[in-house]
Amino acid sequence: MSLWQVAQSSGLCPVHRGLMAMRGRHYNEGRRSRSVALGDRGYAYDWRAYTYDDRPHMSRQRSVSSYRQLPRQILQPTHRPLHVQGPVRWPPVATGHAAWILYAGGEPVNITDPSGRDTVEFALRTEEAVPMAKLVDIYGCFAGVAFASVSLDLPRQDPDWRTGVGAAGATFGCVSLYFPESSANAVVQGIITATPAVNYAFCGFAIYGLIHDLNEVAEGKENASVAVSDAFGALTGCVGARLSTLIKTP
Amino acid sequence: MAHENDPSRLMNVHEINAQIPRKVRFDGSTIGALSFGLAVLLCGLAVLAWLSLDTAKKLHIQSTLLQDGRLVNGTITASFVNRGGTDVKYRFIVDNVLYSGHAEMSADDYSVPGDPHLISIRYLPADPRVNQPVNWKWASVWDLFPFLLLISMTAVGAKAVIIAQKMSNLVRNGLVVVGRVTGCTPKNKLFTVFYVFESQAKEEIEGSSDLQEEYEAGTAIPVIYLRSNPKRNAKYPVSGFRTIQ
Repeated sequence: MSLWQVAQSSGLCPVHRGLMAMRGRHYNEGRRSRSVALGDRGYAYDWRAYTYDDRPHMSRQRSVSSYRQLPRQILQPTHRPLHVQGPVRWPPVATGHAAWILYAGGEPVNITDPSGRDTVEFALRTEEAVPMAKLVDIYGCFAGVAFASVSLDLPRQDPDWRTGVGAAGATFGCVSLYFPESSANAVVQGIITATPAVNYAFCGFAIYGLIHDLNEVAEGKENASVAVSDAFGALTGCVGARLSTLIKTP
Repeated sequence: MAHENDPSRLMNVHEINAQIPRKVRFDGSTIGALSFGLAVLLCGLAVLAWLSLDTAKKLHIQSTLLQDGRLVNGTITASFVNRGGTDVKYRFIVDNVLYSGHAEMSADDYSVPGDPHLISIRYLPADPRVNQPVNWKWASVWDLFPFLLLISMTAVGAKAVIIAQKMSNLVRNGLVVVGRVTGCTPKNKLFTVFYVFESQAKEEIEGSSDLQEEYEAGTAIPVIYLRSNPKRNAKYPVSGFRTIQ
């Protein structure tokens, strides 16, 4: 059954059918795209099949972000894809590691992936991606501890409160690794959702430290090792936190 | 996926509500998270309190010295660069008695013009041990970032403690009713389950909980809510909190 036939049989309005025809690849199977489009009988799709129960007050267009905040009535998982193309399998067979060959989940013989998107989305959305995100977090943790150690050791004077706060910020990421993201515990989730804010604050702190140290190095007041330490910290706080967030929430 | 024969649907709501106020115990994950939150909060508050008191004390000395202080040039004995400025140690002589002190200077121009080894000091004639460099300032723009980091960590600790307190209160005093699932959406490794339930005032209340299981729309779901504030609700039993008879 073609996509057009599916659109017709689903009773969608002409505008909606046109949209589906134009963006057929994007909507194929009606389950993996994060895009949200609402016609007369609006619907919202996520990577699994969802339908949308008619509500006259709903606006016709919604962004992805507003989709996440849609009210209670919106998403009803049906476990019934709108349309499934013949040769495409979903989900792809787990490869057990980051995909060496992204096409068709590293198994082009057994799996067909005409869109070329499946494996990428699969890698980002499934458990396969979690160790990668965890790895980035662990890297950030160790880099943070290294930053803290260097910060505490290198200065020629006793550490002041700023160094202590920096060390605490650097090691904060290590402690937060202890809490599993799959926990439904509200207290744990409260800490997990707030951790990026601390990482970004640490990022700002490390950048400030780097600028300060470079000033001092330029004026001959400080040794370059402290600046290197702060640069390390900036990398930890900013790149590590952002990379981890990107992997977890593509 | 929650099944139609989910045991939670078969629970006796009246029996559960008869136990109010319930005895609540935290499970291991809650204790860990709460301990972490408390430690961060207390450490953050301690540092904030120390910073505030130290600054208030130095501001008080500054205002006192501005009224009754006298000026003298001291000798810089040591200076260390730190992330907030320069830590300066100095000594000065009053009535043939040697006094020493130290201060953190945020500005670079703390020394006497023309002689980088001298620093201008203001001291209290009645007690020269009360002294301070003339150019001392209580705040530096460089302190903004470590201060923000400190505040953000303290806020995380406070958030964990507040959530634990709220959820504990909900589990202790909440009324359990059977609600109906209206929607479900994935959220990272969890599912946000949207539901409606009817409060004691026969009012339809909407709520949501982040759960590990996916629920189908229309499924019955036990919901616990506070009678005084029905908007505070969660799926029952609440993860991380258990009740004992």
